[in-house]
Amino acid sequence: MNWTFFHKLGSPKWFYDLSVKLQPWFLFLGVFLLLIGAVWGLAFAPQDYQQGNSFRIIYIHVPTAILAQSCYMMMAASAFVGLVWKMKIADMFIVAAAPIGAAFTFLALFTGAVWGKPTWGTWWVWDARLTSMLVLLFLYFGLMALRGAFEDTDMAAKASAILVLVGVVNIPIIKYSVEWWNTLHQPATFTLTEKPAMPPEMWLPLLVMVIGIYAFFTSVLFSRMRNEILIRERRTKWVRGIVLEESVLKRSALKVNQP
Amino acid sequence: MNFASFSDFISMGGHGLYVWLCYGVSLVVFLLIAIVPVEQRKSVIRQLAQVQRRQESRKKEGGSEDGNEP
Repeated sequence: MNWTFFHKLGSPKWFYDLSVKLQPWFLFLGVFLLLIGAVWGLAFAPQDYQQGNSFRIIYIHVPTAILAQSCYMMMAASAFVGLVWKMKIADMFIVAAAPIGAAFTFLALFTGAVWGKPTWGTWWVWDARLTSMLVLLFLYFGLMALRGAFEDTDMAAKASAILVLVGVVNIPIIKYSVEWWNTLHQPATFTLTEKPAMPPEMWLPLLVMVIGIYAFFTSVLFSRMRNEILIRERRTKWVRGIVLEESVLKRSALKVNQP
Repeated sequence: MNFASFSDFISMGGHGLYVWLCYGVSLVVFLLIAIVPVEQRKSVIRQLAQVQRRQESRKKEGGSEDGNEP
């Protein structure tokens, strides 16, 4: 097997250059698909025969909830790689991804609560699905707080990798909570093995939203990781070059604006 | 189109408040997620440029090469 790719992936400069090239495409694709999916879901999808139009919240709720968990799984994979191979980029991924994951977890909880009011008659119940999602939010917050507590980057990387890996326990609990315990929450909308219970006019916009949110996530992640690379690689020649170039550009732009 | 009129679309069969609250808050959060790294980059470049300028001027004065980095 050829491991060149794996080694390149570990190089911050290589990743930086690649992300500069790819990021605009992901951003465009993400915004485009999210707009299409939202308009489709809000205005064109048929209404639910039981829930009426409040079911349209699904087009935000499910994609954000999927990403909240999938972001955590990616962080866990990254934490493992970081611990075993001491790859710099792995820890940068965790630092860059955690706040996005937290934001999506918040949105999943918020839209779930707002959806719950007209559907279940309550904003919140302490059942397994909702509680385990709240735990996920606190895992993200804990991780972000932990980063701030360390001066030394290597120590911080090790500590957060361990926290991420311990927290993985929560992910199957979220996933199977609707099957293991009695809950108000409905079972999974999408599964890999079965056809969705909804008609295509309903689940197609949802699929568009899910793909869109992955693309959007990737683009934001690239931006955040680039910032992280700039800070950590600030002593290298190539980062110094970028900093010099951009600050000079900005200064000359200021001079043009002030005659 | 699933709705007969625009006001039907806004009211969402009486669930308008819930639906639009969700989409509104989500829009704000999505925008924040997208804008934060752009602003962050500006401040990172500004700070690193400052450090580099300080190091350059110190080098010219013949002082130590690696200045006071944060």
